[in-house]
Amino acid sequence: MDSGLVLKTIGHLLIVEAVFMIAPLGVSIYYGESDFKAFFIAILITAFVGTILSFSRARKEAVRYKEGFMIVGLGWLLISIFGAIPFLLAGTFDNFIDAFFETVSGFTTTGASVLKDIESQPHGILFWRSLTHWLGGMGVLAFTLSLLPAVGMSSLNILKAESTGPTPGKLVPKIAETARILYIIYILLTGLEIIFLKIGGMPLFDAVTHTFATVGTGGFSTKNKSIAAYNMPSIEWVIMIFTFLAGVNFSLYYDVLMGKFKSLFKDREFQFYCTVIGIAIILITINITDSWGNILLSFRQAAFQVVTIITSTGFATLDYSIWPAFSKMILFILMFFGGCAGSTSGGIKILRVMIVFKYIKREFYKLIHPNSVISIRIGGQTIPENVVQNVIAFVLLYFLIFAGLSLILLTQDMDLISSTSAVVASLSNIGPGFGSVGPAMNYAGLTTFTKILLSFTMILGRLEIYTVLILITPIFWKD
Amino acid sequence: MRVIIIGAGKVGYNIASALSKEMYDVIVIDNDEEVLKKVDDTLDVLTIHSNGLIGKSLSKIGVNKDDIVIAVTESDETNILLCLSAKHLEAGRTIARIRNPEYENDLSLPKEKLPIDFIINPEKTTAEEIVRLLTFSPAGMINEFGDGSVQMVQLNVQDDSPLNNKMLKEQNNQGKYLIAAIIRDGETIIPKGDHYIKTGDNIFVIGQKKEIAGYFSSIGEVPLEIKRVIILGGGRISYYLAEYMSKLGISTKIIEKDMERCKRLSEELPDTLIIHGDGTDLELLKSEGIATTDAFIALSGFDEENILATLLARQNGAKKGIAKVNRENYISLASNIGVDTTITPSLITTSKILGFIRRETVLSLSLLPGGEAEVIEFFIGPETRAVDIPLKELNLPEDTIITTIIRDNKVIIPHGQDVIKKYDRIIVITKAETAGLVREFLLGKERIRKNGFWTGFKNNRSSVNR
Repeated sequence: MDSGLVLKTIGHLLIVEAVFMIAPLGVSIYYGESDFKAFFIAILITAFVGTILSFSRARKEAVRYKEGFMIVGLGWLLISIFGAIPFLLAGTFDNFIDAFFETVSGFTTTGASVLKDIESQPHGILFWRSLTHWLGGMGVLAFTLSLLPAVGMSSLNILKAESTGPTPGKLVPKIAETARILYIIYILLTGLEIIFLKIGGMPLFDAVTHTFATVGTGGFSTKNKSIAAYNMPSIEWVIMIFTFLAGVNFSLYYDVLMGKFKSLFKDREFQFYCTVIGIAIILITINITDSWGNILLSFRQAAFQVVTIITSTGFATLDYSIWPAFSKMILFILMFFGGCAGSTSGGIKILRVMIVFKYIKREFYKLIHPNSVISIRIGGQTIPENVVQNVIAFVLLYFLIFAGLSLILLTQDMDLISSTSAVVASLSNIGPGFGSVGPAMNYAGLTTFTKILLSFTMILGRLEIYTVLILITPIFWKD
Repeated sequence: MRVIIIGAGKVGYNIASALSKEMYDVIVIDNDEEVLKKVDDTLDVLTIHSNGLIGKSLSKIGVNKDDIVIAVTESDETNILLCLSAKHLEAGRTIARIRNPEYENDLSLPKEKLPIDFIINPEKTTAEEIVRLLTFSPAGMINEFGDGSVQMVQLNVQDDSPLNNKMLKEQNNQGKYLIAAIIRDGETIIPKGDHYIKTGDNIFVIGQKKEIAGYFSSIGEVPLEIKRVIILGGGRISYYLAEYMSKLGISTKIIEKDMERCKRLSEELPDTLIIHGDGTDLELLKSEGIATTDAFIALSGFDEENILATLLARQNGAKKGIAKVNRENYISLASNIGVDTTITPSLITTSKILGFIRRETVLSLSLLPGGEAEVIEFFIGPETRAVDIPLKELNLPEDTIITTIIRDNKVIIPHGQDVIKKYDRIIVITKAETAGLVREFLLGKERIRKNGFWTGFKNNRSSVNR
């Protein structure tokens, strides 16, 4: 492995992070709050370490699988550690574990918080907290790649290890350009939502921070009661729509911007995504209208919760813990789904779910026609057999990790509902779960061990398991 | 500008590698996922797995008139068909590799009706290259520039050569020729004056044709007169080569293992003696007069066999040995163990295709073995910003030398105080990764992307589906 190349790339990554910290520094200076010192020092430390690392000498070789995994795995760990510095220095948290948990939760776009009183925090800190969502959503390394002139070297393995879905690819031949195009779409979406939220009646600061949390499918709010604090249907609708949009494959937006509107509606994954959301909303609406009476209100609440959960955002407009068990179970199932491949959302991803269904269908078919050879197709595109196997193993691994971690959490003084939902909410990067980690509660009361474990679960989920697990397998370190 | 390469074999890979380092957007299409994986891992290009439907992928990516389509799949028929459909989709230029000589004759339609702008026949081109090598035997490789007035000649430095441990400056002193590159242990060096030459180096001397011959005889490398040639293997290159040889009146023998192939060759080549047998069999070589042979050329399908047979022939008296080596990794190895000359068809093909793609600005181009460095001949137009500036003040990119200036049919090997003038032709040697930069630099047109953030959209009006 070319460790020089790994360190160099991570150095660039930290410099990019330091540059992004300038934004919250500006915010804190604008509001005249004392946390600007924390950001100033954090920027200096991060930029310093980043600059030193960026001087590492790389052998002139391409980024191969090993380097790709190493850069992404180690990179995400380091940006979380350095990203936690402002929280510590500003006194938001009195210990490193809480600050680390909050930062990881931000970058992985989970949105699980250990902050008890959000509204008492200075604006700079709140801004940084939301900005981590925005950066983590599309991927910090993707941003770094879009800036680096990757002359003569393919960094596709980095993009592959960081982006979501089973078969990430390029939109255009040059990798830096692909990363740029994705970010342009992301920025457009961000700009639009800020404008709509402002029109919807939100103050500018809140509009920006909530937009970051929406398009990155994160879920951090700057209010203790999350979106419920505004109690305005217009804001809920805007956030709901943009959450839905953030869960769509971004390459579809590229097609649309290129004038190919049809490909959006022809895309099978998009169709399936809409179908799942539609069915879930109808079922929950019917189920909760009984107790609420008002069908319109029920519909709005059901739609908001379904969209926010399936895209792994995790904003709250109400405490769904009080819903009937049937509706809660639907949300619990949706927690595993996630949005489309190539979106900013977490979870297993719709495309993988579709492949698993087709695989099962094929197995049934083979019972009747044992000699048949059938290739799995999604929307006319054949999915290569090795990708199918990879997806099956991924889904299996997802549930194994879910079961294993839930078991461990049960030893940490948690009940069954809380521990299982805390694990899936972390693994799928959602945020709120049920029981003691429900939308009305938060993660502050957990033990230190649980917080560390869940932090790693979030990174595991964000980087789609393989990237992180491969780093702790002995095979990886053997030459 | 987009370049669409169909077929990610050796030639496809090499072209993609060279062009992706420049301003080109390269798309590689292939049927084989394993091959594409390798491309994806090492090059910054877009790969498309075609599921066997290459034509469909071609129409899907929306070929337009700025695009260049290069069909280098294994099959001639596929390549022709692809160029046909690419032209139909209004591709700007099409290039096809066509191996079968019959097709080439059949395709002799008027140029404007032909769907292919450039046909490359690797075997024929390779045979031509070998003929050129035989006409000047000390050379390991000969490239011509400036319509043949300038040559670049490769020489392998032997133990007993007077060049050993000489400083480059002492060799370049007369301003008539220049050592432009050294390949040492497989690594290409663009040397400065204070480099030393070592045993086993492959040096590339560039200069006026007649001066080079003089230089070579001054260091004891006298050209042989080739009269008798033995060719190992009866493939297509051998066929073309034997044809050329008979035109030149050189006595030629082809040794081929396969009886059927022998029969066919004997029908096609009346002037050539076809021998059925194993070319690595020493007794056979001896009885066919290896000791009095001027050149032994190994062109079988196996690199290992070619290298070993050439060594064997050299040991037993052949005066010159040429081995065809398909794997580029073997080139430096072969020259280290004493094979004086190797030829690699894929490299020759690649440089021909690259030369065609860049023909607007580039008069000719050749790749050094290994593909790390390029020798490029430019025409200096009137609006170039590099003119009338002394070369030493030009701040050329690293590892770049302006080796020759051709002005009014005169060849100048320039010094630091010389200048480039309008309408000159210049020959530059540079590393492959800086080739694009050098061209921008010397031709001075503002083609570098100013704001890449937006060009991603502008340049790709037709997108590619996931």
